[in-house]
Amino acid sequence: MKSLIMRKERFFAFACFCLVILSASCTNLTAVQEWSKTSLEASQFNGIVATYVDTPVRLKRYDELHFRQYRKPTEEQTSMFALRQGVYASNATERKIQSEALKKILSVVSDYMGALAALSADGTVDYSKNITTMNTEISSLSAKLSVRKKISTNTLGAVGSIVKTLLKPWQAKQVKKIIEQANTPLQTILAGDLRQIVANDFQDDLNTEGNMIDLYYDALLNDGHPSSAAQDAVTEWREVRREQNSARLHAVTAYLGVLDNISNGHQKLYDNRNQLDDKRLVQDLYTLVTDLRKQIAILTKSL
Amino acid sequence: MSLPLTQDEARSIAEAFRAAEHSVKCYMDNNYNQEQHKISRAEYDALYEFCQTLLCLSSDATTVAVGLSLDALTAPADELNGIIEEAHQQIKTMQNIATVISCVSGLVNLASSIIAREPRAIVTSINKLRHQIRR
Repeated sequence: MKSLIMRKERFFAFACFCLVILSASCTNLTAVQEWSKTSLEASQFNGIVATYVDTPVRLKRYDELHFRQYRKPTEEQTSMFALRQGVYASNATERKIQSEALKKILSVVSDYMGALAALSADGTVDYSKNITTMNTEISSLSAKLSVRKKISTNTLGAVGSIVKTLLKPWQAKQVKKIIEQANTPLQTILAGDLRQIVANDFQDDLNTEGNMIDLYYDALLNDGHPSSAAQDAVTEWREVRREQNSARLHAVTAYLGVLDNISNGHQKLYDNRNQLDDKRLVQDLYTLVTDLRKQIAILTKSL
Repeated sequence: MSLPLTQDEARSIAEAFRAAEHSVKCYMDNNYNQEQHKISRAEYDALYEFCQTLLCLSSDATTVAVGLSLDALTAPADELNGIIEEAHQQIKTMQNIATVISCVSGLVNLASSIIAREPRAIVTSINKLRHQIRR
């Protein structure tokens, strides 16, 4: 009898040891999940696309407003105005088409971040409800067995732990696989042409609008001899338009920060894909999350 | 015939037009302002038209640059879409494991009913299990 008890104790100790070893080999994906979730949230601010699409409409309006001020426009002024109006109209149409493609590309980035967040989430392998149900069933089966064959609470707990412990490494392996496959196309998008569009084209477009604002309002101030009240009003309107322009520029800069953040973060994940809970990586990811939160705040305010 | 142009060339053109406009605008500011009119109003208006046209063309070149960049983005976006699909499949597999655990519970429940020799409970367990398998 004594030896039977000793054997049971040894078996229990061995089972505990196995569980500890298995648990130690589990990768904690919390930082990966937190970073990808925040990246998903940040990448969804695609209001900068709308700003880009509407720029020709805003430029066209300045052109129309100025043209109306000519008391008797010359033939050359009329024909240049018509030419510009045509270019603005065709640009507005073209940009509407481009916006669909741009939104699609941005949503591919968001979708990927969403998939990575879901894949690395604790909830994805949280089968506690299922395990609880299973344990209840085992308990009820145990109650119907003879006293000698009763299943202990420890055993029931171990069943749940084993299922969880075995699934965690499998989940980490899947996350690693996805990161490995996605890095090249994601970096091509984020650090390549998409970055160029946001960094150069969106910013340059707003700089063009800034020039147009100065041109239009300076011409208004130089038109004849406006009263000081009129001058004040024009100056104020110019400031309002300038502020709107600079808020849009801020949003573009913040979004560029988001793209760079996602690009850097994913590269770090790729470089550490064999140890996704590396202390340094976790620290870096949380720093990137803090930066993303700041960029989200700017985007929320500007758009 | 369309002009073969790269996105970087289109960007340079946009930048050149904007820079030219800025130079003309500086000239206008220096020569026609509230204090002095070194050029006539007609000249000022002509330069204004020129500036507007330069900005319009700059904006047009930007549209071209974006269009060319978007063309280059199609292939990596398609590749990434395939990977997203795979990730969703993995998530689905994980959810299937939940179904497996539920089915195991169902089997244990059925075994329990058989041991207890309760015909009604056996029928209920079988139905539950069938439902879990089909889900």
